[in-house]
Amino acid sequence: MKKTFILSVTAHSALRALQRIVCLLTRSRIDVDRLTMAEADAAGVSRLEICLRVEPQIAERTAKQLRRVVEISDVHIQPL
Amino acid sequence: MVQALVEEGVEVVFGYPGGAIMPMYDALHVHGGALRHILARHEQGAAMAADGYARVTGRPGVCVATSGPGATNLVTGIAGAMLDSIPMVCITGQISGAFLGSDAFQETDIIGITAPITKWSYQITRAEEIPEVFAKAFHVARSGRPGPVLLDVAKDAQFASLDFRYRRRPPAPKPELDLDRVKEAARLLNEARRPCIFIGHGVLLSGAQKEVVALAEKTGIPVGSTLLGLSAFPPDHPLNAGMLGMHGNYGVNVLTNQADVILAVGMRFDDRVTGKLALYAKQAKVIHIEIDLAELDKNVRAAVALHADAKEALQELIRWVEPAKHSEWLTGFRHYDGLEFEAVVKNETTPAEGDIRMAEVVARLSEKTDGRAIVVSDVGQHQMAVARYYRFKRPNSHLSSGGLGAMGFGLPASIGAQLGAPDRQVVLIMGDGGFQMNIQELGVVAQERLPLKMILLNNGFLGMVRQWQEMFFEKRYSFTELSNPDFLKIAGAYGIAARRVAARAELAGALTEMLDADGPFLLEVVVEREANVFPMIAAGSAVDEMLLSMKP
Repeated sequence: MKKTFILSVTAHSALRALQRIVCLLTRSRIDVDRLTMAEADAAGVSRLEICLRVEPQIAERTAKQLRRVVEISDVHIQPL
Repeated sequence: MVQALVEEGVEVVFGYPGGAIMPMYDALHVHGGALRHILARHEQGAAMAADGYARVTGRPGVCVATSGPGATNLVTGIAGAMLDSIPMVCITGQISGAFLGSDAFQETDIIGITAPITKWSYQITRAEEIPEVFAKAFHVARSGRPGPVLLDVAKDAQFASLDFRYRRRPPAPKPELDLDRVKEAARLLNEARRPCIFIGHGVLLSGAQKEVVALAEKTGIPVGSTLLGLSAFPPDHPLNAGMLGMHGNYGVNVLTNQADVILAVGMRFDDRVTGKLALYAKQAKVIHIEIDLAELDKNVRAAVALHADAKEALQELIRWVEPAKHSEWLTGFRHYDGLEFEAVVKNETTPAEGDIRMAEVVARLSEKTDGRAIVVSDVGQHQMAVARYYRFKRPNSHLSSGGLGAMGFGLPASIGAQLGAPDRQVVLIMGDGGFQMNIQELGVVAQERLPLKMILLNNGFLGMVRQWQEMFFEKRYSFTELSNPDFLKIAGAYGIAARRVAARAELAGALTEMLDADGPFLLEVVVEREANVFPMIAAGSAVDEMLLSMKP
């Protein structure tokens, strides 16, 4: 059963991180309701928030795969 | 860029020049001797040779190509390295920064194309970035679970000069070991009555072969290996239970579904290992030691998940397990070994009559080389024959495209292996289909006079696909029969010694002639045309439904 999750990602190179996030999401055919990317702070760190509809185990898998991305420093996922 | 590679201790690069990488090639010429450059005949060959070099040496393989077609030709090689956790640094030229995005001549977005198949990638547009980015590339390729990285370097950045200062970066620290989980794992193993150890490529990558043997011997637990874990555990060891998965050994697959505890080390429960996941080891408590967090609980839920380096985790685990023997459980493995030997192995390796079989070629080679060669396979039926019947006695000696299963891997990978291990006997075993996918790399073998020994098992078919057509598509052999050239003439045109064998009586002598040859040698063995690889777990079946022969 698909559920809605909020995925929060901290990245130090937002566009390159976004490219890899999109690759992972499309590869697993995950539905995205909303994606927001905030302007980078003074240290060049950006935050992305993605609202997903996905089976819980795929959500968990995707969060772990995102943690492997070199540009990404932090990943949080929680059900809405 | 050349200086950065030298700083990283790189000795050999595999590549192919072209417009957008010409400044780097000029530097290779001017600083000739700093690095050995091997000219592939196709960029895919360069990538797969770098992969083979990395598998044998444990150091990142480096390949170089130009922009556009040069870069896209690397893709299959990079994808294979990603799936098999091979450290690689791939360098591509790119058009000058000012023209990016304009559909310029030989412009492709190789960063975009390779994003899903690289561990990391970066486009360099300013020369000043080169030292830091190259150092990071080698750092990422080597750290944790290794993998390929790609550096795309704009041509104008290659031309510019810079104040060069290089700082190497050591690999990232290993994950911190969770002692409580190690103790919990030890408790499960100590209470187990029907335990198994399953090892994968991670054991070789972390150099944990001795620890696996020590743990198995102390606890009396049998050890199964994935395809890429082969050569990590001694073949003659009484606790060696053989290979897991689709064409692995009968006992270890069937008994997977009777084990009460499975210790999985550096393996990822790939679908070729598990068969039907819903019916895989449901009764077992799984202890999973794995350096890549994303592999834990991905396909199989672990009772104890240990995010750790295999060697460090096993060293600690050995301290907490109690000595044990599992004689009755081991008797079960021997029982199944006996069934497999009678139904399959005996007739495959020592047939009395009929055409030569792939397995007997591998078995004779294994005997003649005492299991001490580096054996590289391509993809297909012969790949399974190598995995099943070559008895690897030295680690990191079995090279195979596991995760990607890329035909054409064998010849270039064996070139990389021979260059990475110049003092070792390297033998390539390939089929007639895979040979022709990268046959142009014979040019490298000839030009470099590599003492590579190549065995072509020629059955005139794409054998593995034909086997599936026979089993699952009512023998409709759709485009799997090949009309082949005279391979001896091809070898001859490259100045490579060659011989063809079709009679069993000549096989042993031909193998000796090949192994004794000074330079490269191609031995073509004409094998049974429509042979099948067994045992087999058919796609969609459970591990304990493994077949020993064709269903009646």
